[in-house]
Amino acid sequence: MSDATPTWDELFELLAPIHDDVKLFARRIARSNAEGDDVFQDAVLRAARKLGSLRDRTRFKPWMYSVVVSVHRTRRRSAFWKRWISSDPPDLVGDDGARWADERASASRASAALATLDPAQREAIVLFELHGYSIEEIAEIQRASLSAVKSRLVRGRDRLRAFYARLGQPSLSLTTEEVCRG
Amino acid sequence: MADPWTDDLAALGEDTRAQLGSLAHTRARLRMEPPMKNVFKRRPLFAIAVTALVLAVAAPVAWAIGTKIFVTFDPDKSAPEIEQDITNQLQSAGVTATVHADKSDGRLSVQIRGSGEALDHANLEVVPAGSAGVVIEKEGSAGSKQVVSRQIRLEVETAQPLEDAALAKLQAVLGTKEVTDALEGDDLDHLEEVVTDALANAGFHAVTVEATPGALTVHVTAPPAP
Repeated sequence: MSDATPTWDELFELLAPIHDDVKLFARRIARSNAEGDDVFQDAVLRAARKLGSLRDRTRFKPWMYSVVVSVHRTRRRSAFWKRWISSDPPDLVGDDGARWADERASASRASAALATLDPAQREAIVLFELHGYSIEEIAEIQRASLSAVKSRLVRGRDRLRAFYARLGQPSLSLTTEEVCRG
Repeated sequence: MADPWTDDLAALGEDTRAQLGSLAHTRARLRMEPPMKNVFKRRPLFAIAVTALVLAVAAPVAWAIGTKIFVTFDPDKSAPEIEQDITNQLQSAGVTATVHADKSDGRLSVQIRGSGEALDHANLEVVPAGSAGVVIEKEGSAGSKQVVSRQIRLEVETAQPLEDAALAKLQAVLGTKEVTDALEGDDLDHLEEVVTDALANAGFHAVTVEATPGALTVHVTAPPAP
């Protein structure tokens, strides 16, 4: 472990090439862009505190993603009850689905679908589907085995499939919130 | 055929790019304070990791917090002496349990196993003697000696009692090098992930894992998958 106290300059120098990608990742695993920005900011602060523990600076990219993952999971745990009693649920589905006719609504639907996944599954799906990372890279970021990542992807897809299957049952008149609780 | 979520995820990908903010923006938002140094900064010439595994096996009832029992021991004593010390202290507190201590590779593990009335209603805390916190650094003329103590509380609350083989499997997972290495670190999220993954790989999927600076609690609610 390095004894040198990392500096902000060093951190931002390492962060510069991947800043946008990491921030996008934080937004995509969160329930909103605003929450994602908070996750990202907390992650940068945590990275500043822990940068000294990163011996190999060439591994900064997966390490930084790992920090985001860690912050995200911590926040999700502490927000567990808020999730269920929140007075600000995701956008509701109209009975005819008309409110999801545009791109913004499509993004909201994706966000609601991802919200039905466990944090680890959500991270794996976002990294794989949206960021194009390989299973090996995701395993390094999530500090998990290859089999664990594969399992998260399979189970995450199963849950997404279930979410969309339930949306396709208009007779049930399900709301997004109800589907999320699935 | 594309998955039903493909277009929605693409839309989310675009939506999250809105007003993303630059690196300079991020920097401006953060308070420019020098990062804190690790509180538990390590500088050991040699280290002893003390792990106390408290195994409680219960009938499917809610866990109750009863009288808190403090058990202390001297990590410098031999394993049999530690076993005897802890057994005596538990008996004095009215708790009957089996104690097993093992010292190897600079690592001491203490396992306390009880069932039913023995441990499930006892809020048991096991700490090395003389410790005031989770991490103790003993300064000596020859260098630093560090004792890391983190208690593992394994709570089994299943509809049917776990078979001995399943319990042994649980203990084996918690005794792997991967887990014990994570126990000695101060990254609690990493510890939870390591333990959760290790248990999942061993077939235990119905578990919740919570790590705090002083303890790791593993709550098992179903037997392992065959």
